[in-house]
Amino acid sequence: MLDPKKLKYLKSHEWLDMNGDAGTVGISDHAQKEITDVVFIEPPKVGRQVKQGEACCVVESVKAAFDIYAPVSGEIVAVNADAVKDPALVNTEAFGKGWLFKLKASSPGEASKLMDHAAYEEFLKAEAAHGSH
Amino acid sequence: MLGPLLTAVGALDAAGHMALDEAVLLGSPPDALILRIYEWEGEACTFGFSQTYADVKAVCKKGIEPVRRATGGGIVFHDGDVTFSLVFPWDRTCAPETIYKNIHRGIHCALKAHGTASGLWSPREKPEGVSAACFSRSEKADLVGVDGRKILGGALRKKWAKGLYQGSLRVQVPHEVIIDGISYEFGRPSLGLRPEWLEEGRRLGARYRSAQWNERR
Repeated sequence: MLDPKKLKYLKSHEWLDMNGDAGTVGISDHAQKEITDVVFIEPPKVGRQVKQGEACCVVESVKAAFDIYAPVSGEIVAVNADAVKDPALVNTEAFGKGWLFKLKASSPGEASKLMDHAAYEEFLKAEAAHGSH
Repeated sequence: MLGPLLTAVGALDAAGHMALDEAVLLGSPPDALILRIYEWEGEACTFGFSQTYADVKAVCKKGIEPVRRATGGGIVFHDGDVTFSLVFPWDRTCAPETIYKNIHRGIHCALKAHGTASGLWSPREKPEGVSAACFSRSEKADLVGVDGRKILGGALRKKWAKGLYQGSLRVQVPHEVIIDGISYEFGRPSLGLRPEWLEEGRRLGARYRSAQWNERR
């Protein structure tokens, strides 16, 4: 399992693990708890070029479908077949076996625009303080 | 400000409605609250984003072509239901269950004021798995009638900071009841549509009619 403190985050709750130009993407533990039981994943096609912030994957929980966004631009190089087969992995191991896809970043520096763990935690606190619908 | 608006959409088929909902979701301002109450051209069938076409086609009436929704959930037979959609700001972390609860509680209050009793379904135990047909089983926060049967179910799609809710109410009520129900929890929704959303809806309709979309799995 990855260390959540070493990852980068989007406001839409994706996490990114960057090693050079290799990125792995999933959704945060907070997000999986909010959306509840994941029942379906539509992964991006391997070989697809994505831009930072582009919707490229769909995760569905009971009766609700969520777009998942590319944290950085690049080429999709792998999708998690195990999670596609057993979407509950997103709930049980959000930072590990529940990863969604891997990409080869065309501009790895884009990751610097994302939140680090501390900033993401602050973001979550601010959201909670703002209340819910 | 939403600017000049049109309200007369007229009757559409399933693909037309799905496409128009997506056009409103994509084209409306982030803070917009837009309610659409569908007028159907005839009987229709829609099914959830992740469902398998062949499974749905097998249970659809002969002659009715099912259309895949962008939202989740199960099969809905639109054969006299009151179908409506709501595009709303979904800018904060908010569980789908909370959104269902808020929308359905509002409709519950409006139905009560209209003389129709209902209640929010709250099962003691979480049901196993996912139901293929929307109205075959109640999920938490669905609305049920006095006989315990589901009368309102919904499905959601989240795109960035906006949400699309599509609901099906199996009680015939005036449109004002739906408008009042949404107003209870969210404030008065806009009922108008911009011409460019209608245009985009017509363009997107081709995708919702295509085998590539409907039979993608």
